[in-house]
Amino acid sequence: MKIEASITKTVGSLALDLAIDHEGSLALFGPSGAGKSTALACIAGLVRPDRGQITVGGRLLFDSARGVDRGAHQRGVAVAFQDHRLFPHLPVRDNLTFAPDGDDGERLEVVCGALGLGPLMNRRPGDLSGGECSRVSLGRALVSPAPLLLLDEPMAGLDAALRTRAIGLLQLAMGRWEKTILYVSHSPAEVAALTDHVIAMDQGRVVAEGPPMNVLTSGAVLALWRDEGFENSFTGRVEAEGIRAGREIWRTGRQDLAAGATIVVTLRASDVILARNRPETLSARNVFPARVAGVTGSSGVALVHLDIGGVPLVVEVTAAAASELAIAAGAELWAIVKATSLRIGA
Amino acid sequence: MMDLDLLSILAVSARIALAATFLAALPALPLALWIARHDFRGRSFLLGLLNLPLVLPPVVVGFLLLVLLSRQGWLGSALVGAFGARVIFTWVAAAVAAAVIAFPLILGGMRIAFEGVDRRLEDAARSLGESPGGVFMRVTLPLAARGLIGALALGLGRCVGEFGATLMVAGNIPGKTQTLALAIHQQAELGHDAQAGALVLIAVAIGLASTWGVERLRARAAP
Repeated sequence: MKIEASITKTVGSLALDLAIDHEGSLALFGPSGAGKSTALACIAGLVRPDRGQITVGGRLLFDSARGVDRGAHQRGVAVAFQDHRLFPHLPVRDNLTFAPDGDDGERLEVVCGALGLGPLMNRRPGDLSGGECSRVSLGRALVSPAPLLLLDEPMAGLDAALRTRAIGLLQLAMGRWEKTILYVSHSPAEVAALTDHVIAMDQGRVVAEGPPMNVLTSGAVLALWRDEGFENSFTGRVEAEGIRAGREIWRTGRQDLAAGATIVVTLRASDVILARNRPETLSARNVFPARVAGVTGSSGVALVHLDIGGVPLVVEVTAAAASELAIAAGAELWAIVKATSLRIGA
Repeated sequence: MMDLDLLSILAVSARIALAATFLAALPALPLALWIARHDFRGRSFLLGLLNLPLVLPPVVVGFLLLVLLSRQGWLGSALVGAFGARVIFTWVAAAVAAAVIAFPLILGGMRIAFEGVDRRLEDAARSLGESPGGVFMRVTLPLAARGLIGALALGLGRCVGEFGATLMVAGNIPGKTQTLALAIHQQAELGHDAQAGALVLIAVAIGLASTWGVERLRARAAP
C-alpha cells in the first residue's frame, strides 16, 4: 500500500514539515520532540494539518486545498499510541476486539500467543503494568481490521525477549495479513528489523531518507541515536547445531528451540568483536569470516557494515580500533560473537 | 383535623419529581456534551445564563413561568391552542417549574462528567474505526456514567424538594399538585405539628434512601 503525505503543522514550538512518498511499510525515526507522533496524528485524522495532502492506498484522506478531511473512523488507519489509551472500563479482551468487525479469530489468537496476553484477558487496564499496557495497545492495533497501522514506540517497556517476539509478530502482520506499518521509534534496531525504508526526522524536518542501514549510520543521523546503541536483527531457521542464517550456523547455547522453526535473532552492534586473524581457543561459540561492505560513523565511533555468510550486520567499534585493524571496504576479517549475546524471538 | 392522604401526596411528589428530572435531563444531556466539547466566545456568559435559576429566588422563577404559561402567555396560549387544556395549576406546571429549577444542577453535573472523560480515549476509539455515535455509546457514556447518575440524583432530589416555584405555578391542590414539601408547609401553617413532623420524617427517609442508593450504585459502577 502506498503512503503519500505532504503536510505542514505548527504545534507550539514544533513546526512539522513532512513529505512521505513510499510504497509499503516504513519507519519514522528521530529523537523525542522530532514531530513523529504529531505526524502520526495527522495521518490518523486526529490532528488537522495546517496545509497539505494525505493519500493512502490511492484513497485521498486529506486535502487542505480541496477541503477534504475524512474522519478518523473512515480512514482505515489503526494507531498503537505511545500512551496506550486502553479503555479503562473494558477488560483486556474487549480492548483487543474493540474495533467494529475487528474480532478476527485468527489474528486475535496469534497476537495473544505472541505477546503473551492470554493470562491478561479478563483483567482491566487499571490492573496492568506499563509493559503489559504496551502489549495490549500493540495487540489492539494488530487485531483491528485496518490495513494501515501507525505504531508509536510500541515496544516501549517491553523486555528484550518480548521485543524480539513482537518484531516477529509484526513481520508476520506485514506478510501474512498484508498490513502496512508506519513505525515510529527512536530505536535503530527496531527500525532496521522491521522496514526497508526509514525517514529520519529532527525538529519537525526530514534529515535523511532511505534504507535503514544507510540512513541510520550516516553522520547526521548517527548523532540522533548515538546513546541508544545499535541492535542488529535477522531471521534464521533452527537446526540441530544452531540457527542457520545465510550460509553460517549461529550457536545459541539454547536447547529449547523447535527444529525447523523460523525465528528472529537480535544482536547488539557492540556485542561483536572483530579480529584480523582467525582467533584460536576462545570461549565464544561463534567465529565467522566476515567481509567489510563499508564503514560509516562520526568522530570516535566507527560502524562497520559486514557481510557474514550473506547476512548483513553492523558492528560498532571505536575509530581507533578501526584504523588499527585497517578496516575498510573489501577487508576480510573475523567476527566473534558469544552465544549468550544472541537474543531469540518468536 | 384535616385528613392526610399520605399515599396521594407521595404519588404526586414522585410523579412530578420524575417527570421534572426527565424534562430537565432531556435538553441537559446534549447541551452538557456540547459545552464540554467546545470552547467558544461567550461560553462563560452562556453558562452564567444557564445557571441563573440556581441563584434566583424560586418564587421569581415561578412568577416568570406563570407569565409564560398562563392563558395570556405565549407558551400557555400555544398549549391551550394545541391541547385545548390549560397548564397552570396542574401537575404538569409543577413538573415544568421543578425542571427549570433543577436544570442548572443537572446540566452542571453532566458537564463535569463529560469533561472528565479523556478525549484521547475517544480518539483511540475513532482510530479503531468506531463512528461518532459508537464512540459516544461505547466510550464516552460508560466513562461518564457515574457523574451522569450523580447529576440525575442531585436533580431528582432538588425536584422532590421544590417549593417556591411550584407553589406559584401549580398552587397547593391536595391530590393534584400537593407534593410532600407543599403538604409539610400546609400542615405547619394549620398548626398540625404532628402531621408536619411525620411528613418531615418521611422526607428525610426518602432523601437518605436516594443518596445512599446512588452512592452504592456509583461504587458498583466504578471501573
